[in-house]
Amino acid sequence: MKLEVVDVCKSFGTHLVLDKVSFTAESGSAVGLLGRNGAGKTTTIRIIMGFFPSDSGQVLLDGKPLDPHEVKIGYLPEERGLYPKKNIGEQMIYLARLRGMTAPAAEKAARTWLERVELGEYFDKRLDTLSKGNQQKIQLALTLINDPDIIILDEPFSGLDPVNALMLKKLIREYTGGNKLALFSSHQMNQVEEFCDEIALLNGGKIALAGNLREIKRSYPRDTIAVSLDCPASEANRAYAQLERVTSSDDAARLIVSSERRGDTLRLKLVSDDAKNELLSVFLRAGVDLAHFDVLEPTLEEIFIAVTGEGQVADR
Amino acid sequence: MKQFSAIFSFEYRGIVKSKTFIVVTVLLAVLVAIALSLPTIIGWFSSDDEPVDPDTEITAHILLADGSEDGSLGEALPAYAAALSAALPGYEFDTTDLSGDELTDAIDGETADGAVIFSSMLDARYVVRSSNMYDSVSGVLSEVMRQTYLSFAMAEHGFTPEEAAEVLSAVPTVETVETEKSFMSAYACTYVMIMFLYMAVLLYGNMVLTSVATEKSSRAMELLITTVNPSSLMFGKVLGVGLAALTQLIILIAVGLGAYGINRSSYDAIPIIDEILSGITPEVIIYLIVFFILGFFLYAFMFGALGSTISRLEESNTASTPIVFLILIAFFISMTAMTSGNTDSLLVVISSFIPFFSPMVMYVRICMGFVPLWQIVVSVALMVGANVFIGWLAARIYRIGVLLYGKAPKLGEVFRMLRRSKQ
Repeated sequence: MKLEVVDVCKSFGTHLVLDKVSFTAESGSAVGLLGRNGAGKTTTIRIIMGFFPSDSGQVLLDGKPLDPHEVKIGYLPEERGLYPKKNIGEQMIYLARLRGMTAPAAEKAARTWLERVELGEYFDKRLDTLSKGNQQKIQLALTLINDPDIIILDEPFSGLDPVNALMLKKLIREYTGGNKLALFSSHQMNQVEEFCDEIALLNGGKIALAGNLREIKRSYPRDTIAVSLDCPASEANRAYAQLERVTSSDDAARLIVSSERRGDTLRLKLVSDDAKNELLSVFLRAGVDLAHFDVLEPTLEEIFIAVTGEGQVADR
Repeated sequence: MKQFSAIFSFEYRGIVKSKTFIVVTVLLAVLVAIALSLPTIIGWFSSDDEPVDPDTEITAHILLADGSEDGSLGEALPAYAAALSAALPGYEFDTTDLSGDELTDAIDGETADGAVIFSSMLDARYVVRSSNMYDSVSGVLSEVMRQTYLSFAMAEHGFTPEEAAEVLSAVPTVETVETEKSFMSAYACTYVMIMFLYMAVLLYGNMVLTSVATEKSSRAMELLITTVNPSSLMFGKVLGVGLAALTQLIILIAVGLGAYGINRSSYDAIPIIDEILSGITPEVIIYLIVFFILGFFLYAFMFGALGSTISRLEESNTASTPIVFLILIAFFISMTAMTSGNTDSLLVVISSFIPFFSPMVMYVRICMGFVPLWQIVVSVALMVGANVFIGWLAARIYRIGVLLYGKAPKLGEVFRMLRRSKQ
């Protein structure tokens, strides 16, 4: 399946919130819709979900306009909330039935999913007896309860502790592994980076950057290397001195533009992308015990900040 | 359709299983049962409270004296004593020759509690130390005097005492034959039904409003609205609440019938109950159900639409004011028509065709007056039309309203948004 957002524009009053937003998401991949607060992530998702119409542009599924009621979509809205005063099992069954499941299937799925998010014993408890984080997990379970073909998660990581965030990542991984389509929004770049295949970066209502994350990263210069030696922590200073001795040798120095110490790691900016193999052979000849020798890619966070502009306030 | 039935059953069960509903239903059922058992309960108590045996206790001693100038009433005094003793058990009446100050002294000296001084057969003075509220002598005295006067007069004209007694004890009977519906019976049963309509529309209408507002304020709405059609959501809710209301009504009617059945024997002594019950004909019940359904849905749609425009439960009271006003107007027109018995005044007739009022007003007209069939048909048709239109409008407002958060919009703004969304 292929979900395409094409030239979507949306204004609230006189305020242009989305300006020709376009990106694509395909089955088997997780697409991260990234951006600062107020960049237009939730608005984009709400338009995809048909919560309100766009002013212009289209949302297509396999080339045809998307009708969210026709396709099995698991949606986790940004505004979390169910029925606080009702039993958890009861409302899970209800919402699963609304999504087309039969009552017995809905009950079975509700119990299975509660087990999966480790809240199995709460089937007959009221929702408001759970902590906020656990309520969030219930909502996540609900998103996946009817085995949807597409999942759309708006800020799924907000409010989750690291263990639960890990569980969520596993769920999404598993899910996209089954050749399904996942779209989620986030402003927490470190959470997204590990498992997001594609990104669409929104800034001020415009797509600032979109595409495969690895390719985007590769498109940045690959001339910075991080090196460290394999040694116990107590000998870090000695190891570092050894590193400096190698890099200041004539063979190495002509390849290096600048160097910077980060803990026991040395970051080296090279004269060109090609210089890294030559530098590696210098290290090997020197006979040092390398722990790693990496091409330093920009982190998603660095890309994000570079694109959205540090300190610059993005309006809604 | 599958979604609709899921919504419907979720809403219905949510209400019926809620503590509030169960408590209120049980409480009302107990009240109905107690109210209908009252004749029996009163019966228990009054059976312990037998009338006082006239021989047992004399609470007051009253003297009867001839106060006429010529002393011509001496003959009549024993007759007075006999008649008064018969009418007032617990009192002792004695004739006396004392007069004036002697009597007063007797009363002050507490040898007597009071004295009646007859100055003629039609003129007497009752002297008593202090008249308390249980003293019934003065009340009975004039009737006794009248009867005695008449029997003496009749004797003078040649009646034997038996003939005189027969004439005097004759009691005429009067039977009222009403050519129109009995006002009393129609009033009582219509009153109960109108109160029911009023309460049901108000209570259950508000339940719809609260239910919508809760979904909005708990933020479940975004999930719901992206899963199901907003119209199904609203209609499912309204129907679920309506059925819950009907469930409660049926339980109460069943309890009422049961309690009436059990206590039936106690009711035979109270003719007015039979008269009220005779007013409840199948026709009246059918109209009640028809008008209840039409009225309930009309108002429930409005409550639902309104509920969608507010973001927090606390706003619901303010928001529902205009609708409550409409219900109140309908209620007051109905009540005025009922108490005055004038169900054909221009105001009443006109408002019995206005769908917001007609469920109550037309019902009153049908129960308490005579309404041509065509008027009933037109009124019901108008209500059905209004239901369709208001239902459609409410679904549209709902669709827009549920997306609004923040300050509740004014009615005018809602309609402006509606117009814009149509284009």
